[in-house]
Amino acid sequence: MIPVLLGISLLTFAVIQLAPGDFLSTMELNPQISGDTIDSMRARFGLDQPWWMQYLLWLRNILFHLDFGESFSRHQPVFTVLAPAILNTLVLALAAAVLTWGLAIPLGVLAAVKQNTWIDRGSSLVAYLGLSVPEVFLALLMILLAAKTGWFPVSGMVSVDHDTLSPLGKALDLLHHLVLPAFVLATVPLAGRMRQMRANLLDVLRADYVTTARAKGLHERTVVVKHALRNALNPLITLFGYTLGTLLSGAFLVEVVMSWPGLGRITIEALVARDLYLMMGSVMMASTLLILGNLVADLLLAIADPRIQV
Amino acid sequence: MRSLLPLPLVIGLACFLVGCGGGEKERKTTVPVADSRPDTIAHPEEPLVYETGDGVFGGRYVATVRSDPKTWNPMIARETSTTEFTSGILFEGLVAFNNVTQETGPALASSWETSPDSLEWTFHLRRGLRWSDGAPLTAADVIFSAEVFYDEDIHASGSDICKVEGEPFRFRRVGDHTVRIELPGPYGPFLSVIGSMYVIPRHVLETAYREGKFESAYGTSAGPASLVSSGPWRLASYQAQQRITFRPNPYYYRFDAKGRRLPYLDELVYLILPDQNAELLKFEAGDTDQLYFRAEDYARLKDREAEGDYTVYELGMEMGTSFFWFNQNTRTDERTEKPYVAPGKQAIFGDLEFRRAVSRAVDRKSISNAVYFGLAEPVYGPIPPVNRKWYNPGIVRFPYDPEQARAILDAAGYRDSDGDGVRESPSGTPLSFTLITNVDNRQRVAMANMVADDLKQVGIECRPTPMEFNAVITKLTDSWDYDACLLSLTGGIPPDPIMSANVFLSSGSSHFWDPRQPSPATAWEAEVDRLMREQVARSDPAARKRIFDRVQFLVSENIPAVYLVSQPGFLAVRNRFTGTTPSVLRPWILWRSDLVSLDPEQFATMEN
Repeated sequence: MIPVLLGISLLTFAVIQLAPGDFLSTMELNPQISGDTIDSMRARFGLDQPWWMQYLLWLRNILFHLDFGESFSRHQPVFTVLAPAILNTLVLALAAAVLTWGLAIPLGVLAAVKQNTWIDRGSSLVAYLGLSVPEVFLALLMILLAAKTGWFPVSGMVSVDHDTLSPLGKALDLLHHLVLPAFVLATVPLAGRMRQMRANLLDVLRADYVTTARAKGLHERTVVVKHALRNALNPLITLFGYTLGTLLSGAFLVEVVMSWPGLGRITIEALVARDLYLMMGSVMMASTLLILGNLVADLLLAIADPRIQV
Repeated sequence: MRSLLPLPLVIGLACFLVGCGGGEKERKTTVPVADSRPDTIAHPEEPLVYETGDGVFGGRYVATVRSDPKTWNPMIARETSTTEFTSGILFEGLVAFNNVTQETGPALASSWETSPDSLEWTFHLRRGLRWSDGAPLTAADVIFSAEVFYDEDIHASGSDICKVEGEPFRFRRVGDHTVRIELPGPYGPFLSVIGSMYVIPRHVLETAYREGKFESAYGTSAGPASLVSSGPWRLASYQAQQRITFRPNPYYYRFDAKGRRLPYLDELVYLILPDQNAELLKFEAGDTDQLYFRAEDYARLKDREAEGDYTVYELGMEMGTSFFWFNQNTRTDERTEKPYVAPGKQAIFGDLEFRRAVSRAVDRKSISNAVYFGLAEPVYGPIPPVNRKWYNPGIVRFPYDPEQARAILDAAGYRDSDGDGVRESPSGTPLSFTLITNVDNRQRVAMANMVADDLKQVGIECRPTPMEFNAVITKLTDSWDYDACLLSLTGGIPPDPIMSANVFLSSGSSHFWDPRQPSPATAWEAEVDRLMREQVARSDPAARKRIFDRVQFLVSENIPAVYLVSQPGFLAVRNRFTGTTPSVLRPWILWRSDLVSLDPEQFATMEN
């Protein structure tokens, strides 16, 4: 895990430095800021040193002082800026994950069991639609829906009156704002997982032991749920861990378009502003979450499949 | 199998319904308003009293910003999302700029005098001023603010223009309520720029400053209780990436004509919305109370005025211009040992006749029609007409005349010798160049395309090349390897020529077509340098205007840049508010946030 993170950090740092301009670039075009001001700021931020020097300094600060650096634009420690945002993104990703898996598995099972009926074909249609629609477009469409019907809020995580609500009211307010962004985020993975679930279950249902179980006289429901489903779920459990990673990257887009105050928005703002340490911190956080997600996937698989030894 | 069906779908449906049912509805609560607010705090001996006094107390105004403020510290606030709050909402200076009259007026200082040679200014602070925590605001705060302002390590925003030839002003304390400012030399823009120094509380920030921790003081993680302000508002709460709430400063020194302490509103809320579309939709949904928008949204917002219960104000042109210029840098790149611009192109770009022809070839009216729905105004010089105080109507104009353009090019020796539709210079270099601009700005990309079309009609090949903003900046400030560039500049506030000194001075970093010259490359640039230095040193506004008029004339005559249009600004504000004085300068309504009030006449029909 450590080597992966180190590699990611080095690569990210190098790529950021390759992109033209740095944090102070936009200020160079501002007639009201003199060249000397910019030069002295550059020296202070350490941006005038070679990129590998800056990288080593950054690494040293993390390893020895656990200091992720300071955001250039906000003059605040990177962790202070990122912590609330990470929480918000996790909430969104979790909601989308619940939506994805909560719908994908039953619908996939249904489609497999009722193969070639209208249920199956209908869900295939929905799946292909979900897979092909671009996320940005769907997000904008949902915003339009919200604006036209007023059923959902247009953007944001909580309403203006949030602080005045009771704890239950606050939870409901959050849920209300969560519906559309989570739906947009869940659409593409939902379609994919549903198809996969269906395919896996179909494969398993053809196996000999399923025929044996049926021959033994078990209820169809027991055959499917108790025997077939567990084996069909195996590959999908691995995917569950990776879900966090894909949801995080998908969340970036949804957050910007639907104004969800999460990690994605901060990262993109930092990217445009070339806020070096904020960007590095954000990328490292996302990478860590991704790697942890993979770890969870491996562990889950070990639990679910007795053949695998950790 | 049959029983598999209901359970997950029922759960899904339940979640959906819960999500739908709970949470915010349209705000239908009635807002209690009153004729006065309980005010047990003593009035200051020298308040600022407005001439109007018809507002009522109560209510909330919701505005938007594009991104989070980076700090609450006015000394290090640099970009708009931050200065929106540090300038005028939370902090004030000795003087303040009036967006409507475009003049500077009293703020924390009630009056001032100047010596006959204008080198010494004496400001009288109002007596009885207090910070939002009740501590007195005196000259000691001003002196402390000046010390921080000129600290080289902090390099406060605005400090560069508050210097005379690099020398800071000298602040001297004369008693508790008088500050004397001595200028190292004559400085015409003094009164316009002194308001850029915001007064900060010594009793709160001095310790942090002495310990070297000033820049993180008043950072956005500072709790509202620790943030002491002098403006009409104090910070009530801040949720990162979501919203900022302000409540009235109980010690504010401004009162309405009926002797009631301002501001009228109980709450001022800003929602943080990075997306322009979301901003528009929020306004249409009734969640926000103001929307600043541009030409492309005009028709849509105008149509729904009655339905949405708001008024659209046509604010006129913004204080800025769009323009494009040719790279006239004749120097050599030390790193590659080659000139920045190839000699053939250098000769073309440096030819005034060529630039004159280009200006004649561009159809500014068409650009306004296509890009700004006919609502933009052509400009021919660096200062747009909306800058009433400084605009020179006597500048030279080269309006659209493609016939003339062709004639000028013919006479200057640019002919199409090989019949490919593109003229060549006498030395054989084709009149072909790339025009860069930043890809994320739709209007600039559209304008670049239209310019290319116009130039094609007269035999000049222009290739629009949009690229990422930082790439453009690198080319303009570092590598200088580009042919032509299209950008725009907005005016500074206050709109004094000193704000664009770096553009006009040949040594300036924003002297786009040939920046940071060691010495002026042409006679007219040397003349402009001389004039700019002279107008800074004169204190008589009429003399400064005359000199700056000449600068504008020289720029329009020598066409270092082809100026295109000024774009219009529009504002939509809910009808239930009164006391609003809309201005095309930011922050369009909230520059006078203390006088904004709910309209008592509208209560009968109002639900919110």
